[in-house]
Amino acid sequence: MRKTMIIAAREYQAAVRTKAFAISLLMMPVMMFGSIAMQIILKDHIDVSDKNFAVVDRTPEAKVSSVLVVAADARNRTQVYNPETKAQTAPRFVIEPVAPSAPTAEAMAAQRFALSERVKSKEIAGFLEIGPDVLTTSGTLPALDPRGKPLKPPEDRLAIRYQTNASLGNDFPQWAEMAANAGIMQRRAAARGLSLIAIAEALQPVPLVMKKLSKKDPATGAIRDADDEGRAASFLVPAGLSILMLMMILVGTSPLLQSVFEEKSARIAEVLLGSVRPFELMMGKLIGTVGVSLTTASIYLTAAYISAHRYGFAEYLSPMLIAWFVVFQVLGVLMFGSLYIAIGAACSDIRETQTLVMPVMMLGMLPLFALINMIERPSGPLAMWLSFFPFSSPIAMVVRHAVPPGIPAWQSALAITIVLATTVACVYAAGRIMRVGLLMQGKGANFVQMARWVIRG
Amino acid sequence: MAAVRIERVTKTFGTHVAVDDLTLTVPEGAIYGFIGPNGSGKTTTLRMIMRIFHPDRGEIEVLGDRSLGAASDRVGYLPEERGLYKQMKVRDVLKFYAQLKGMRNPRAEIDRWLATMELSAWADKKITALSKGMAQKIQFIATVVARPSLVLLDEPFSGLDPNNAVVLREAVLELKRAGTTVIFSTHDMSTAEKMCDKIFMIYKGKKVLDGTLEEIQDAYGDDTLRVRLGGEGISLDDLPGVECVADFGRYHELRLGRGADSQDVLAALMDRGEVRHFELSRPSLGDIFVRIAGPESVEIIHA
Repeated sequence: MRKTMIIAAREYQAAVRTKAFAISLLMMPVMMFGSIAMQIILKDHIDVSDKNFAVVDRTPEAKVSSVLVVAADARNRTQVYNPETKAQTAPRFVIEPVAPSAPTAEAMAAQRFALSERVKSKEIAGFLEIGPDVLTTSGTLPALDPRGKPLKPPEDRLAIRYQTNASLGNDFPQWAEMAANAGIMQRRAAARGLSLIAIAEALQPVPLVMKKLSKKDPATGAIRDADDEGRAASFLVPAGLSILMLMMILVGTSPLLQSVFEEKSARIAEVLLGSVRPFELMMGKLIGTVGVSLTTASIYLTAAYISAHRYGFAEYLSPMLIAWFVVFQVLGVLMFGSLYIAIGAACSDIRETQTLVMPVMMLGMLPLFALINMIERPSGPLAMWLSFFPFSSPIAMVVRHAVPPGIPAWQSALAITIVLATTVACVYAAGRIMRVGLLMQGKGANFVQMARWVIRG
Repeated sequence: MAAVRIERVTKTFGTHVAVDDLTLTVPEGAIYGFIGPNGSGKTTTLRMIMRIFHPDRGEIEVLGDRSLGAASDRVGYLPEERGLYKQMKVRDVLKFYAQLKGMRNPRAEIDRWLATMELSAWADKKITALSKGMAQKIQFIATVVARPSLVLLDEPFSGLDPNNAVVLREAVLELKRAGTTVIFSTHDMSTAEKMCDKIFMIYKGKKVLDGTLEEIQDAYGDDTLRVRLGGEGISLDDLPGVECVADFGRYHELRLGRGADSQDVLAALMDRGEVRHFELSRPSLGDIFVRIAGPESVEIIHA
C-alpha cells in the first residue's frame, strides 16, 4: 500500500503541478461563461438591413397582402427599435405585393420559379403565396391536432406558402403567419357578423403557473408561499452535472493512457516493475487520478454550491446530490481509468491507442445522447436501463438524482452494485493486461489478444 | 549465504526457450559478470531474479527469500533499456525511486551520489536537459540510492564515453567494497575480465561457463600463441598443430589443437621468416566467447 501511495502521489503531483492543469481548470468556466457572454454581447449585433419579401395574394381582391403591408408598416415603426436607446435591433420588413399569375399549374410554377430566381439574386429574401381559399370557412379548413398543427399538409389553396433559401435566423415566417392570420380571422369573423374581439376574449386561455412545493419557515412556523418553478435551473443543474461528470471521467482519465504509454515506450516501466508489482503500479496511478479528478470536481462543485445559495437555487444542488456525484465520479474514474491503463499498456503505437480508445469514449458518452429524455422522464425505461448499464450509469444516475423527486433507493443500490462490480472486474483485467503488455514491444495487441491475456495471465 | 540461488529454472515464451534448466549460485559480496550473445537469455534471467518474469519451472531465491515481496526493496535493478520521467527534476526522480525502495529520508544519500557522479550542479534540472551519459548516470544512482544489498546492472557501460565509464566502474567497485553483491551483464569482455570475481556465460538459454576467470581459462589451458612477424607476406597456412589463425593486424593469434607442441610451431615460423614476438598464453575471455558463440564467418580463419 505504501508503494501504491508513493506512485499515486507522483501521479497526482505530475498532473496538478503542470500549467496545463491550471489552464484547463480555468478554461472550462471561461469557455462556458464566455460562450454565454458572447451570445449576450452579439445578440444585438445582427443584420438590420431592410428585408424585402414578395407576396402573391390569390385571395379575391388581394385582401391579405394589403393587411400584411399595413402590419409590416406598423412593425417597422414600433418593433424594430430599442425603445430606450432608439437603436435599430431588427431588420425592417418591406412587403412587395406581386400580381398573381393565372391559376393554372404551369403559370403558378413559372411564377414561383421567377420569384425563386429573384431570391437567389438576393433581390428579395423570400416570397409568400396566399392560397385563394384561405378566407373561406365552410368545412374546408384542415383538421388540426391538439397543438393546433394540421394533421396532414394542407392543400396550397388553403395555406400560406413561404419559399426561401435561408430558413434559419429569420423570424419573418412566424411574423407573417401571425399577421396574415390576424387579418384572415378578422375577415372570416366579419363575414359571419361576429366580433373578433368578443371571440378572442371567449377563447383567451387560462395560463398554468409552475410552482415549487410549499414550505414552512423553520423559525416562525409560518407556511411560505411556494416559489416559482425554476425551469432553467431544473434543466441546467442535471445537464451541467452530467457534462462535469463526463469531463471528470473521460477527459480526467485520458492522461492515464498517455502516462502508461510514456512509461512503456520510454522504458520507464521496467525500472518501476523492479520496485513495485504491476497491480500496485496500476492502483497507484488510479488513486492519483481519482485525486486529480476530485480536486477538479471539488473546485467546480464548491463554486457551483456557493453560486446556488447566492442566486436562490440551492435546492437543486443539495449536499446529498453532491455526495452522489462524488460516489459515482470515483467509481467512474476507477472504471474508465483502468480501461485506459489497459489500452496504454497493450499498445505500441499512439495510433493504436486511438483506435482502441474510440469505443471506450463512445460507451462513456452514451448517456449524453439520451440526456433530454432522462431529464424529462427520470423514471422512464430509457433512464432506468442507462442507470443499470455500468458504463453509462455514473452520468445517468447523477442526472436522475438531480431531477426531483429523485429515484427509489433500490435503484441507487443496484446501480452502485453494478458499477462497483464492473469497476473491480475492469481493475482486475487491466492489471493482468498491464503485467503482460507493459514489457511487450513491437506490435500492439487487439481486443481479442487483450482478452486472452486477461484469461491466461 | 548466496545472494542469488537459481535452481533448474526454465522460462519459455511461446515455443522459444529463453532459459533452459539453469542452475546458478551468486555468492554474497561478489561482482558476477553475465556474458552471452544477444538473445541468449541474460536479460530474461535478470528479470526473473527481479520477479518481473516468473519461471515456468524451477526456483529462484534472492537474499534468502523465495517469495516476491520482502527482498525487492533490497535489490536495485538497472534495466538495459533506460527510461526516466523527462519532465521531472533530477532530485525528484531520485527521491521517487528511493522512496519506492522504502527509504524515508533519501536527501543525504542523493546528494552523496550526485557528488560521486559529478552531477551535483544538475540536481534541480529537468531530466530532459541532461545528456544521454548524464541520464544514464542518474539511472544508475536511482538503482543504488536506497543502498540495496544486491544490484543487477544490465549493460551498465553501454553508450558511455571512456570518462563516464571510469566513473561508473569506480562506483561499482565502491559498492563491492561496501559489501554489495553486483551482477552485471556486458558485451565488453575486457571489462568483465578486469572487474568480475566470477563470470557466467549463457548461450541459447543454457549455462556454458561459470567460474572465476582463472578457472575458465584453466579449462582451456595454454593453447593460444600470440605472434608478431618481421616481414609481409609470410604464410601462416599449414603450421603444425594450429587449428585456426586470427589476424589482428599488428599480431596474429594462433589456436593450438589438442596435443600440439608450441615449439614445433616456433620452429616452423622461424623457417618462414623473422619472428619478433612469440608468446604462449591462455585464451582471453573474448576468445573463449567467440569459440563458444561466434559464427565461423566472423572469424578470420587461415588454418
